Order: sequence, then C-alpha cells, then structure tokens
Amino acid sequence: MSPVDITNLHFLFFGYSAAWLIMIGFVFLLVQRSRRIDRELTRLKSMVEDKN
Amino acid sequence: MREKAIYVLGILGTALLVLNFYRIFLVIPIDALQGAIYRIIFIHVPAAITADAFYAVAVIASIAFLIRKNFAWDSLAVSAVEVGTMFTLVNLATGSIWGRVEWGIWWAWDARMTSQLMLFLLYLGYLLLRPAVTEPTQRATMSAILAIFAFADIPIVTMAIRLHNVRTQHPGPVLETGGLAPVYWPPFLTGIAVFLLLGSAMVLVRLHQESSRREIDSLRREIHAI
Repeated sequence: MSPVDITNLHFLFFGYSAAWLIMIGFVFLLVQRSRRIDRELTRLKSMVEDKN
Repeated sequence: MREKAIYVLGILGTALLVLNFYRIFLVIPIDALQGAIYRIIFIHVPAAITADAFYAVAVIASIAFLIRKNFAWDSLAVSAVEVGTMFTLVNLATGSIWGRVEWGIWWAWDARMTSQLMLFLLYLGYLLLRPAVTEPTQRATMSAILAIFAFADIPIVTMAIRLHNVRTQHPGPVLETGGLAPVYWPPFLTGIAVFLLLGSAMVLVRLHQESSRREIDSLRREIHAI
C-alpha cells in the first residue's frame, strides 16, 4: 500500500468518524434534553397537585 | 405508539446501516482515480439530501402554521429544522475532509460550498432565534417566516454546480448525468434510506419534547393563576 493510499484511508476514517460523532452527539443532546424536560414536567405536576 | 415508531425506525435504520457498511467497505470496488476516499460520498451526499428533505418538511409545516395557527405545525417545523441542520453539518464536515484529500485544502469559497454554509447558518439562526422570543405565537410566526426564507437558499445550492457562469471547485452533477456507476447506486440509495429512517426517529423524539414543553408552559400558567 502506497503512502497516498494510507493517507486516503486515514482521511476516510476521519470522515466517517466525524459524521457519526456529530450524529451520536446530537442523540446524546436529545436524550439529555428529554430527561431535563421530563424532570421539569414531573416537578410542575406535583406542584399543581400540592396547590390543589 | 410514538415510542414504538421511534424504536422501529431506529432498529430498521441501524440494520440497514450495518448492511450498507458491509456493501461500502467489502463489496464495491475502489474508485480508480480517487482511491478509498471516494467512499465518503455514501455519507456526504445522502446527508445533504436528507437535510433538504427535512427542510422541505419544515417549510410545509411552517406554511401550515401560518394558515392554521396550530402549534403542532410549529413543533414539527422546529423538530425537522433541528435534525436537518445536524445533517447539513455532517455534509459540510465530510465534504471538507474529502476536499482536503482531493484538492489539498479544507475549504474553498466557491458557489456550492458557500451557499451550503449559508444554508447551515440560516437554519442555525432559526434555532438560535427561537429562545430569544418568549411570546409563543410571535415566536412561531417569526420562525415560520425565517424557515420559508431560508429554504430559498436550496435552489441556489442545487444550481451552483449546474450553471456554466458560476465558479465552482465542487464536482459537477453526477446523479442525473449517469456519472455514478451502477454498482454504486445500491449503497448510495441505502445511505439515503438510513439517514431518513434515523432522522425521522430523531424528529419523533423532538416532537415529543415539544409537546412536553407546551404542557410545561400550560402548567406554569396554571401555577401562576392559582
């Protein structure tokens, strides 16, 4: 395998890694946000019940 | 029901992804001119097509909101824009890495790349604008107008490599001109299907978050009223 081929493979790896890191990062942010929203919803529901 | 749909879309997308990785890395031959790096096309182009599909959904939802004033349409628009923007970032990142190998530079300020970057920035602006406007109807109306305005950039991106008098470093159109060899079509189309399935699952998660947010807003109003 020539040095050009090896460089090619390195950049192919970087390309696929970048794409999947962006997607996995986005999913991670979605999960974090869902948890935060669910916590807030539960807190507010219990506040309404207490006030009633 | 929604949770089941998210799981089905996610599992189907992941299964197709594994099949596609097998095809991309073990079945199809290496490109004679570009070597292994050409395989980035199976992420780069499907990401752009998927992003444009979600932006189209966002525009339809935005128009529907402006006509009906129903916040469910606004929720769909923001969910689709968020997922579309993520796929645009994937497209820009993979394109830049491909350009570094093929052109020796990370970025060229040509018509295609600049207009695609503008598309990303316009929809990023949409997402940053929303939290700045607190009144829900005003926020949804402004967002809808911006989503429609930003969508006007997509024909510019598409035409940037088709007009003869526009300077571009980007490769010319290959899909409709027969430039893509028949052996590359299955992984290419599967790549689009994978992103559409996974992206739809993400949009459903975002829709659930948006409906929970609306519930939070109404509970807050209720607490203030008590």
